[in-house]
Amino acid sequence: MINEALTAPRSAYSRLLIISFAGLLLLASTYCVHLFLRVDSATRTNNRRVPSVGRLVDLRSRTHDAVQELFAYVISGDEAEKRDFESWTADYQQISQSFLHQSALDEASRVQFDRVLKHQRDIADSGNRMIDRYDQTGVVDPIDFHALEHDVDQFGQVISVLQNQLEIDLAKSQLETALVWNRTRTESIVLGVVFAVLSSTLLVLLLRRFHAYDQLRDEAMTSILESNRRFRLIFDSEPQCVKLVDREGRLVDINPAGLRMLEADREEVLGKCIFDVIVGEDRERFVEATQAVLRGESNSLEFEIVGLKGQHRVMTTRQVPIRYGSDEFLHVLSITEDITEKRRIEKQLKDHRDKLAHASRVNLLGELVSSIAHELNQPLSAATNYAFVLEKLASETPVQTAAIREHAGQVRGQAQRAAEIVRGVRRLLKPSPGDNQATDIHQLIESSLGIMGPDLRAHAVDLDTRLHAESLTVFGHQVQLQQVLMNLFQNAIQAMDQVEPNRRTLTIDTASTPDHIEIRVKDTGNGIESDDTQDVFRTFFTTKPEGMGMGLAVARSIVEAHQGSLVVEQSTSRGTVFLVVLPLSGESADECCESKSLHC
Amino acid sequence: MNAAKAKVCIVDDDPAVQDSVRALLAAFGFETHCVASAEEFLLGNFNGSIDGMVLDLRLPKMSGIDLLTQLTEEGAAVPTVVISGHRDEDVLAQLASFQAVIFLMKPFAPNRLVEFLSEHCTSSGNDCPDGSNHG
Repeated sequence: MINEALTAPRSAYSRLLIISFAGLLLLASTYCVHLFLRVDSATRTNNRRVPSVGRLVDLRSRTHDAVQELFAYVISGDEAEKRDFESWTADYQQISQSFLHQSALDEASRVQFDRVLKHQRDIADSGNRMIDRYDQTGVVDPIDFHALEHDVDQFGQVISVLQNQLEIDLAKSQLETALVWNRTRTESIVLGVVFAVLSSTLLVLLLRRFHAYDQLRDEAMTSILESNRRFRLIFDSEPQCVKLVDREGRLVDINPAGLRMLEADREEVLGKCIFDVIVGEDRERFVEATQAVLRGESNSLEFEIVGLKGQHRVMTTRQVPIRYGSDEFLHVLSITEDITEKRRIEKQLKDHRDKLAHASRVNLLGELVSSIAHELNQPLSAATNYAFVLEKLASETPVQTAAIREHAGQVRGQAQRAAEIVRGVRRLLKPSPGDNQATDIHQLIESSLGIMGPDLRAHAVDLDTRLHAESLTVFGHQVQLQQVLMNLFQNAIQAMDQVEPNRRTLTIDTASTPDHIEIRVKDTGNGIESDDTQDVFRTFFTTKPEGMGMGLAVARSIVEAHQGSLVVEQSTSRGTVFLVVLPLSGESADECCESKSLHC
Repeated sequence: MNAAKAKVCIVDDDPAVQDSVRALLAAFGFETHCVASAEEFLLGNFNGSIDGMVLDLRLPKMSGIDLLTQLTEEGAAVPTVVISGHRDEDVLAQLASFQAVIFLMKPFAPNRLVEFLSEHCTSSGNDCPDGSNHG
């Protein structure tokens, strides 16, 4: 991937190595120059010396020619010869100077040449004297002649020495040159080989280095491209919207999923401000959130958008700030999910739950209503019957006053009973969820028993309370829970009407599990003989002239509304056990006042 | 005319109902006997001795409909007024299969009860009493 460290490839030779080789090559080149200079100087010396001898010979021969011309003049009197000689005397210095200049003699040779020059001068002087005397006398003076001869000899000797010297020098320099050439030839072969080796090695090194770096670059490029392609693939395939937005909210990049959500093509939205698609109510919040992200926070929020074709979607987004190496955050990267469907389903679920709750309430209400109806039916039925009888009695003669009074009383009694039921219903219906409070079960039991004391005594029922050591608290409706208890107590009492008075015991037992309270109401009646103990919750087989008049169905509904359960735990011929399970509240209860209890 | 009165048994666990129906029927010249459950009825061995029945469907143990079924099977069924606080369609359907049975929902019109019993029950060997008798 792109983050792998790019190290130099092994096949790339180090720079030091290459520089060393280049250095060596430079040295070799320098030596080559040195060789050239050596050869050049030797050759130049040689070149200078080669003509020197010839020139010296030339000089000598000119001088000798001049002497010959002089002799020829004095012998023949030829003026031409005299002129030649005179031109020599005029020129010889210049010629000698020129020779000197061109020959570059060493010190010894120079000295020698000075002698040569001197002797030439002598010759010139002698010659001139001779000519003068001849011109004057027409005869050659033997003194002049001997003097001239002497000068010429001298000249001859000196110039011979010089000539020898020069020849020796020349030979020496030629030999030297040959040696230099030879040496240089060898050295240059070696140098050439070295040069060739160095160059080719350097070339190889460089080539390989370049090749290696080329490869590396190619690999890096491939790696980058691959990485880029991979990222692009992820970006394009991501089913949620991934987008980059700049500081002003303009869209920098967006993936196909995002385009689908916007219902647009790439060209339509790139560069446009993303805030425009957000619905009015959410826009400010979104803008603020984006600003917060650009300050460095990451955040997430939910909002609604309208696509370019008008479709509304509910979205949730997570945003992070992005910077590319600089200190400032330039872009916001966000991943946005379309949760329209999710929200819709959630809403649907909630609606269903509400409906179910409503239905449960209706059910409870339905049960309540049906039990109320049934309870009211009893006194109404009875009252109707008595009234009918009254009508009949009233139309008879003689009027049976006693009977009429009796039946009228009964009508009133039944009406009263109906009224009690209505009162009970009102009390039941009055409370609202706000009436839930922490209720101490034991206090509730005791207050219920307090109310029912007369009943217990009247029915000769013994009481056995086995209450849990600690207080047990339920968070619920005190009045309703008390009704449940009293209903159960009433049922128990009446169930025991069938047995002998001395065998009637009502046992109330409370216990607790980690999460629940268990209340057991046991009687010593004959039990419920039914295949399905659920019948008892449907059948109102103990309608009560006194008391609440609420059936077990209602009691069960109340208990279930408190997230508890009411069941027949046991039913034998020796008695019945009703079990009430209620969720344990962690709170402690307020004083459960007797004044709140019901007057029935 | 001092005809023997038709005997009607009232089967209902609510004492108030028992009492009021008894008073009603007595006022119209029926002899009544009250029991509080189907079992009590069966124990009381009323076979042949009663002419009619007022029966509550909701009874402590055996239900009214079961009692009626049993009596019908035994051939001991008598004209019956079934009273109930609930209108149970299944029960109604079942009732249709019985003879001489009507269903009245509480609170019922007392005259219908009286009329039915007057119409359908004859005292054992005697004529039905007219409405002028009382007791």
